[in-house]
Amino acid sequence: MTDLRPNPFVVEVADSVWAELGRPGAQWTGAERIAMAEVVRQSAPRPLWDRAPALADLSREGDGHVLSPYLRGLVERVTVEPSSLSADEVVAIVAEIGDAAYAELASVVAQVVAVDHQAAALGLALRDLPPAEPGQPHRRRPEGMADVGGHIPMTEVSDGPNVRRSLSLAGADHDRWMMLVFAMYSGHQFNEMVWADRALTRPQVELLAARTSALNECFY
Amino acid sequence: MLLGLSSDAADTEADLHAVVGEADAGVAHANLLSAFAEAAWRRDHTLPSARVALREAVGDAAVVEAAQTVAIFRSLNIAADTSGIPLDEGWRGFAGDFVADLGLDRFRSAANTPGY
Repeated sequence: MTDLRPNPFVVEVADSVWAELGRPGAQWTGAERIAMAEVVRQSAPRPLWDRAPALADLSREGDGHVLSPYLRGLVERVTVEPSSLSADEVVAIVAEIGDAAYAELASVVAQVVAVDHQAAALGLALRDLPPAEPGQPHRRRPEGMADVGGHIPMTEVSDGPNVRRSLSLAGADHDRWMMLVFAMYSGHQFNEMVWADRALTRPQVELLAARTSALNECFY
Repeated sequence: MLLGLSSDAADTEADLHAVVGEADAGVAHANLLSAFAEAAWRRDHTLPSARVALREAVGDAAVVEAAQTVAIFRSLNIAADTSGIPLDEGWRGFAGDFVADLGLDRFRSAANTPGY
Protein backbone atom coordinates (compact mmCIF):
# COMPACT_ATOMS: atom_id res chain seq x y z
CA MET A 1 0.00 0.00 0.00
CA THR A 2 1.09 3.59 -0.60
CA ASP A 3 0.14 6.88 1.01
CA LEU A 4 -1.05 8.39 -2.27
CA ARG A 5 -4.56 9.79 -2.23
CA PRO A 6 -6.86 10.04 -5.24
CA ASN A 7 -8.27 13.36 -6.36
CA PRO A 8 -11.20 14.20 -4.02
CA PHE A 9 -13.56 14.91 -6.94
CA VAL A 10 -12.73 11.53 -8.46
CA VAL A 11 -13.44 9.92 -5.09
CA GLU A 12 -16.79 11.72 -4.93
CA VAL A 13 -17.80 10.51 -8.39
CA ALA A 14 -16.58 6.98 -7.64
CA ASP A 15 -18.71 7.03 -4.48
CA SER A 16 -21.78 7.81 -6.59
CA VAL A 17 -20.89 5.01 -9.01
CA TRP A 18 -20.50 2.55 -6.16
CA ALA A 19 -23.80 3.65 -4.62
CA GLU A 20 -25.64 2.46 -7.73
CA LEU A 21 -23.55 -0.55 -8.61
CA GLY A 22 -25.48 -3.01 -6.46
CA ARG A 23 -28.92 -1.65 -7.28
CA PRO A 24 -31.08 -3.05 -10.08
CA GLY A 25 -30.27 -1.36 -13.36
CA ALA A 26 -32.27 -1.10 -16.55
CA GLN A 27 -31.66 -4.69 -17.62
CA TRP A 28 -29.85 -6.53 -14.84
CA THR A 29 -30.57 -7.16 -11.17
CA GLY A 30 -28.32 -5.88 -8.42
CA ALA A 31 -27.01 -9.39 -7.82
CA GLU A 32 -26.14 -9.77 -11.48
CA ARG A 33 -24.35 -6.41 -11.57
CA ILE A 34 -22.27 -7.26 -8.50
CA ALA A 35 -21.50 -10.66 -10.00
CA MET A 36 -20.22 -8.84 -13.09
CA ALA A 37 -17.98 -6.68 -10.89
CA GLU A 38 -16.61 -9.81 -9.22
CA VAL A 39 -15.78 -11.32 -12.62
CA VAL A 40 -14.03 -8.10 -13.61
CA ARG A 41 -11.82 -8.45 -10.53
CA GLN A 42 -11.02 -12.07 -11.36
CA SER A 43 -10.17 -11.28 -14.97
CA ALA A 44 -6.62 -10.78 -16.09
CA PRO A 45 -4.98 -11.04 -19.50
CA ARG A 46 -4.33 -14.70 -20.22
CA PRO A 47 -0.97 -15.97 -21.45
CA LEU A 48 -0.77 -17.10 -25.05
CA TRP A 49 -1.02 -20.76 -24.05
CA ASP A 50 -4.23 -20.21 -22.10
CA ARG A 51 -6.73 -18.65 -24.46
CA ALA A 52 -10.24 -17.95 -23.23
CA PRO A 53 -12.81 -20.40 -24.60
CA ALA A 54 -15.00 -19.14 -27.41
CA LEU A 55 -18.21 -17.60 -26.17
CA ALA A 56 -20.17 -19.94 -28.42
CA ASP A 57 -18.77 -22.92 -26.49
CA LEU A 58 -19.81 -21.70 -23.04
CA SER A 59 -22.93 -22.97 -21.32
CA ARG A 60 -25.95 -20.76 -21.04
CA GLU A 61 -27.27 -22.93 -18.23
CA GLY A 62 -26.89 -22.02 -14.57
CA ASP A 63 -24.04 -23.71 -12.71
CA GLY A 64 -24.57 -22.42 -9.19
CA HIS A 65 -23.23 -18.92 -9.91
CA VAL A 66 -25.35 -15.81 -10.35
CA LEU A 67 -24.14 -15.52 -13.95
CA SER A 68 -23.98 -18.42 -16.41
CA PRO A 69 -20.60 -19.51 -17.78
CA TYR A 70 -21.49 -17.68 -21.01
CA LEU A 71 -22.13 -14.40 -19.21
CA ARG A 72 -19.01 -14.78 -17.07
CA GLY A 73 -17.03 -15.42 -20.24
CA LEU A 74 -18.55 -12.36 -21.85
CA VAL A 75 -17.64 -10.15 -18.87
CA GLU A 76 -14.07 -11.50 -18.96
CA ARG A 77 -13.83 -10.85 -22.68
CA VAL A 78 -15.14 -7.29 -22.33
CA THR A 79 -12.74 -6.67 -19.45
CA VAL A 80 -9.49 -7.96 -20.91
CA GLU A 81 -9.92 -8.33 -24.68
CA PRO A 82 -12.54 -5.85 -25.86
CA SER A 83 -10.50 -5.08 -28.96
CA SER A 84 -11.11 -8.63 -30.19
CA LEU A 85 -14.89 -8.23 -30.35
CA SER A 86 -15.97 -8.19 -33.98
CA ALA A 87 -19.22 -6.78 -35.30
CA ASP A 88 -20.40 -10.31 -36.10
CA GLU A 89 -19.71 -11.47 -32.55
CA VAL A 90 -21.61 -8.54 -31.11
CA VAL A 91 -24.55 -9.37 -33.39
CA ALA A 92 -24.56 -12.88 -31.90
CA ILE A 93 -24.29 -11.55 -28.33
CA VAL A 94 -27.10 -9.08 -28.91
CA ALA A 95 -29.27 -11.85 -30.36
CA GLU A 96 -28.87 -13.74 -27.08
CA ILE A 97 -29.11 -11.07 -24.41
CA GLY A 98 -30.38 -7.95 -26.16
CA ASP A 99 -28.57 -4.77 -27.12
CA ALA A 100 -29.50 -2.79 -24.01
CA ALA A 101 -28.38 -5.61 -21.70
CA TYR A 102 -25.09 -5.83 -23.59
CA ALA A 103 -24.61 -2.06 -23.28
CA GLU A 104 -25.33 -2.13 -19.55
CA LEU A 105 -22.96 -5.05 -19.03
CA ALA A 106 -20.18 -3.20 -20.86
CA SER A 107 -20.97 -0.03 -18.93
CA VAL A 108 -20.78 -1.81 -15.57
CA VAL A 109 -17.43 -3.29 -16.59
CA ALA A 110 -16.17 0.11 -17.75
CA GLN A 111 -17.12 1.75 -14.44
CA VAL A 112 -15.53 -0.96 -12.27
CA VAL A 113 -12.37 -1.01 -14.39
CA ALA A 114 -11.95 2.77 -14.09
CA VAL A 115 -12.30 2.79 -10.31
CA ASP A 116 -10.33 -0.38 -9.63
CA HIS A 117 -7.54 0.30 -12.08
CA GLN A 118 -6.88 3.71 -10.57
CA ALA A 119 -6.59 2.19 -7.11
CA ALA A 120 -4.24 -0.52 -8.37
CA ALA A 121 -2.09 2.00 -10.24
CA LEU A 122 -1.73 4.04 -7.05
CA GLY A 123 -0.94 0.98 -4.97
CA LEU A 124 -4.15 1.25 -2.94
CA ALA A 125 -6.57 -1.43 -1.79
CA LEU A 126 -9.62 -1.95 -3.99
CA ARG A 127 -12.93 -0.71 -2.60
CA ASP A 128 -15.21 -3.32 -1.14
CA LEU A 129 -18.00 -4.07 -3.57
CA PRO A 130 -21.39 -2.86 -2.34
CA PRO A 131 -24.04 -5.39 -1.38
CA ALA A 132 -26.52 -6.43 -4.01
CA GLU A 133 -29.89 -4.85 -3.41
CA PRO A 134 -33.20 -6.60 -4.13
CA GLY A 135 -35.55 -5.62 -6.90
CA GLN A 136 -36.02 -6.05 -10.60
CA PRO A 137 -34.56 -4.07 -13.50
CA HIS A 138 -36.90 -1.38 -14.79
CA ARG A 139 -36.48 -2.38 -18.48
CA ARG A 140 -36.87 1.16 -19.78
CA ARG A 141 -34.95 1.91 -22.95
CA PRO A 142 -33.41 5.36 -23.42
CA GLU A 143 -35.05 7.48 -26.10
CA GLY A 144 -33.28 8.85 -29.15
CA MET A 145 -31.20 5.77 -29.93
CA ALA A 146 -30.28 5.19 -33.58
CA ASP A 147 -27.97 3.16 -35.77
CA VAL A 148 -25.00 5.45 -36.35
CA GLY A 149 -22.76 2.75 -37.78
CA GLY A 150 -21.52 1.13 -34.57
CA HIS A 151 -22.15 -2.36 -33.22
CA ILE A 152 -25.12 -1.18 -31.16
CA PRO A 153 -27.55 1.76 -31.29
CA MET A 154 -26.52 4.97 -29.56
CA THR A 155 -27.71 8.55 -29.35
CA GLU A 156 -28.33 9.92 -32.80
CA VAL A 157 -26.92 13.32 -31.97
CA SER A 158 -23.41 13.63 -30.57
CA ASP A 159 -22.00 16.75 -28.93
CA GLY A 160 -18.41 15.59 -28.95
CA PRO A 161 -16.23 12.62 -29.87
CA ASN A 162 -18.17 9.47 -30.69
CA VAL A 163 -16.90 7.74 -27.55
CA ARG A 164 -19.11 10.12 -25.55
CA ARG A 165 -22.18 8.34 -26.90
CA SER A 166 -20.67 4.86 -27.16
CA LEU A 167 -22.71 3.15 -24.44
CA SER A 168 -25.56 5.66 -24.26
CA LEU A 169 -27.96 2.74 -24.69
CA ALA A 170 -27.06 1.92 -21.07
CA GLY A 171 -28.84 5.08 -19.93
CA ALA A 172 -28.01 6.04 -16.34
CA ASP A 173 -25.00 3.72 -16.22
CA HIS A 174 -23.57 5.50 -19.24
CA ASP A 175 -24.19 8.86 -17.57
CA ARG A 176 -22.34 7.75 -14.43
CA TRP A 177 -19.48 6.41 -16.51
CA MET A 178 -19.27 9.74 -18.34
CA MET A 179 -18.98 11.47 -14.97
CA LEU A 180 -15.93 9.31 -14.29
CA VAL A 181 -14.52 10.35 -17.67
CA PHE A 182 -15.15 13.99 -16.79
CA ALA A 183 -13.55 13.69 -13.35
CA MET A 184 -10.59 11.56 -14.36
CA TYR A 185 -9.73 13.07 -17.74
CA SER A 186 -11.66 15.61 -19.74
CA GLY A 187 -12.90 18.11 -17.14
CA HIS A 188 -14.01 21.41 -18.57
CA GLN A 189 -10.86 21.68 -20.68
CA PHE A 190 -11.15 18.87 -23.21
CA ASN A 191 -11.12 21.26 -26.15
CA GLU A 192 -8.15 23.20 -24.78
CA MET A 193 -4.80 21.90 -26.01
CA VAL A 194 -2.89 23.60 -23.20
CA TRP A 195 -3.76 22.66 -19.60
CA ALA A 196 -2.16 25.17 -17.28
CA ASP A 197 -3.75 24.24 -13.95
CA ARG A 198 -3.26 20.48 -13.87
CA ALA A 199 -0.41 18.50 -12.37
CA LEU A 200 0.50 17.08 -15.79
CA THR A 201 0.65 18.96 -19.07
CA ARG A 202 -1.79 18.03 -21.84
CA PRO A 203 0.92 16.28 -23.91
CA GLN A 204 1.92 14.22 -20.84
CA VAL A 205 -1.69 13.17 -20.26
CA GLU A 206 -2.16 12.34 -23.95
CA LEU A 207 1.03 10.28 -23.97
CA LEU A 208 -0.34 8.19 -21.08
CA ALA A 209 -3.68 7.93 -22.89
CA ALA A 210 -2.18 6.92 -26.21
CA ARG A 211 0.27 4.43 -24.70
CA THR A 212 -2.52 2.79 -22.69
CA SER A 213 -4.77 2.62 -25.76
CA ALA A 214 -1.96 1.06 -27.79
CA LEU A 215 -1.37 -1.58 -25.11
CA ASN A 216 -5.09 -2.32 -25.25
CA GLU A 217 -4.85 -2.42 -29.06
CA CYS A 218 -7.72 0.03 -29.20
CA PHE A 219 -7.70 1.45 -32.72
CA TYR A 220 -10.30 4.14 -32.05
CA MET B 1 -3.83 12.63 -32.42
CA LEU B 2 -4.36 14.71 -29.28
CA LEU B 3 -0.75 14.03 -28.30
CA GLY B 4 0.35 15.64 -31.54
CA LEU B 5 -2.07 18.57 -31.35
CA SER B 6 -1.33 19.37 -27.72
CA SER B 7 2.40 19.15 -28.32
CA ASP B 8 2.05 21.54 -31.24
CA ALA B 9 0.12 23.90 -28.97
CA ALA B 10 2.96 23.72 -26.46
CA ASP B 11 5.49 24.47 -29.20
CA THR B 12 7.08 21.04 -28.89
CA GLU B 13 7.25 18.25 -31.41
CA ALA B 14 6.11 14.87 -30.13
CA ASP B 15 7.45 11.70 -31.68
CA LEU B 16 4.29 9.65 -32.10
CA HIS B 17 6.32 6.43 -32.25
CA ALA B 18 6.31 6.67 -28.44
CA VAL B 19 2.69 5.54 -28.60
CA VAL B 20 3.85 2.08 -29.61
CA GLY B 21 6.87 2.13 -27.32
CA GLU B 22 9.43 2.84 -30.01
CA ALA B 23 10.68 6.29 -29.05
CA ASP B 24 10.92 9.00 -26.43
CA ALA B 25 7.84 11.13 -27.06
CA GLY B 26 9.71 14.36 -26.60
CA VAL B 27 7.53 15.52 -23.71
CA ALA B 28 8.87 15.95 -20.19
CA HIS B 29 9.45 12.66 -18.34
CA ALA B 30 8.10 10.71 -21.31
CA ASN B 31 10.05 7.56 -20.53
CA LEU B 32 8.90 7.49 -16.91
CA LEU B 33 5.31 8.13 -17.94
CA SER B 34 5.40 5.36 -20.53
CA ALA B 35 7.00 2.95 -18.08
CA PHE B 36 4.27 3.74 -15.55
CA ALA B 37 1.51 3.27 -18.13
CA GLU B 38 2.99 -0.09 -19.15
CA ALA B 39 3.45 -1.30 -15.58
CA ALA B 40 -0.04 -0.16 -14.60
CA TRP B 41 -1.47 -1.98 -17.61
CA ARG B 42 0.34 -5.21 -16.67
CA ARG B 43 -0.27 -4.73 -12.92
CA ASP B 44 2.82 -6.81 -12.24
CA HIS B 45 5.89 -6.57 -10.01
CA THR B 46 7.28 -3.62 -12.01
CA LEU B 47 4.46 -1.30 -10.97
CA PRO B 48 5.79 -0.23 -7.52
CA SER B 49 9.19 0.75 -8.87
CA ALA B 50 7.68 2.52 -11.88
CA ARG B 51 5.38 4.45 -9.55
CA VAL B 52 8.22 5.41 -7.21
CA ALA B 53 10.40 6.60 -10.09
CA LEU B 54 7.59 8.71 -11.52
CA ARG B 55 6.67 10.07 -8.08
CA GLU B 56 10.25 11.19 -7.44
CA ALA B 57 10.33 12.95 -10.79
CA VAL B 58 6.94 14.66 -10.93
CA GLY B 59 5.43 14.57 -7.43
CA ASP B 60 2.34 13.11 -5.84
CA ALA B 61 -0.32 15.14 -7.64
CA ALA B 62 1.08 14.23 -11.03
CA VAL B 63 1.28 10.53 -10.15
CA VAL B 64 -2.36 10.67 -9.09
CA GLU B 65 -3.29 12.28 -12.40
CA ALA B 66 -1.23 9.69 -14.27
CA ALA B 67 -3.02 6.86 -12.46
CA GLN B 68 -6.46 8.26 -13.17
CA THR B 69 -5.52 8.79 -16.83
CA VAL B 70 -4.37 5.22 -17.45
CA ALA B 71 -7.40 3.92 -15.57
CA ILE B 72 -9.98 5.93 -17.45
CA PHE B 73 -8.38 5.16 -20.80
CA ARG B 74 -8.54 1.46 -20.13
CA SER B 75 -12.22 2.10 -19.46
CA LEU B 76 -12.66 4.30 -22.54
CA ASN B 77 -11.09 1.59 -24.68
CA ILE B 78 -13.69 -0.88 -23.37
CA ALA B 79 -16.53 1.47 -24.27
CA ALA B 80 -15.10 2.18 -27.72
CA ASP B 81 -14.41 -1.43 -28.63
CA THR B 82 -17.58 -3.00 -27.24
CA SER B 83 -19.80 -0.42 -28.93
CA GLY B 84 -17.85 -0.33 -32.20
CA ILE B 85 -18.11 3.42 -32.46
CA PRO B 86 -17.10 4.81 -35.82
CA LEU B 87 -14.03 7.00 -36.14
CA ASP B 88 -14.94 10.63 -35.69
CA GLU B 89 -15.26 12.57 -38.93
CA GLY B 90 -12.55 15.05 -38.06
CA TRP B 91 -10.05 12.35 -37.13
CA ARG B 92 -10.17 10.29 -40.31
CA GLY B 93 -7.77 12.50 -42.20
CA PHE B 94 -5.30 12.58 -39.31
CA ALA B 95 -5.48 8.84 -38.81
CA GLY B 96 -4.49 8.09 -42.37
CA ASP B 97 -1.26 9.97 -41.87
CA PHE B 98 0.16 7.91 -39.04
CA VAL B 99 -1.74 4.64 -38.82
CA ALA B 100 0.47 2.79 -41.28
CA ASP B 101 3.64 4.47 -40.02
CA LEU B 102 3.00 3.33 -36.46
CA GLY B 103 1.58 -0.05 -37.46
CA LEU B 104 -1.73 0.64 -35.74
CA ASP B 105 -3.57 -1.15 -38.54
CA ARG B 106 -2.29 -4.43 -37.08
CA PHE B 107 -4.61 -3.97 -34.09
CA ARG B 108 -7.54 -6.36 -34.21
CA SER B 109 -9.87 -3.51 -33.40
CA ALA B 110 -8.88 -1.71 -36.62
CA ALA B 111 -11.02 -4.13 -38.58
CA ASN B 112 -13.84 -3.62 -36.07
CA THR B 113 -13.77 0.17 -36.22
CA PRO B 114 -16.27 1.58 -38.73
CA GLY B 115 -14.93 4.44 -40.75
CA TYR B 116 -11.40 3.11 -41.11
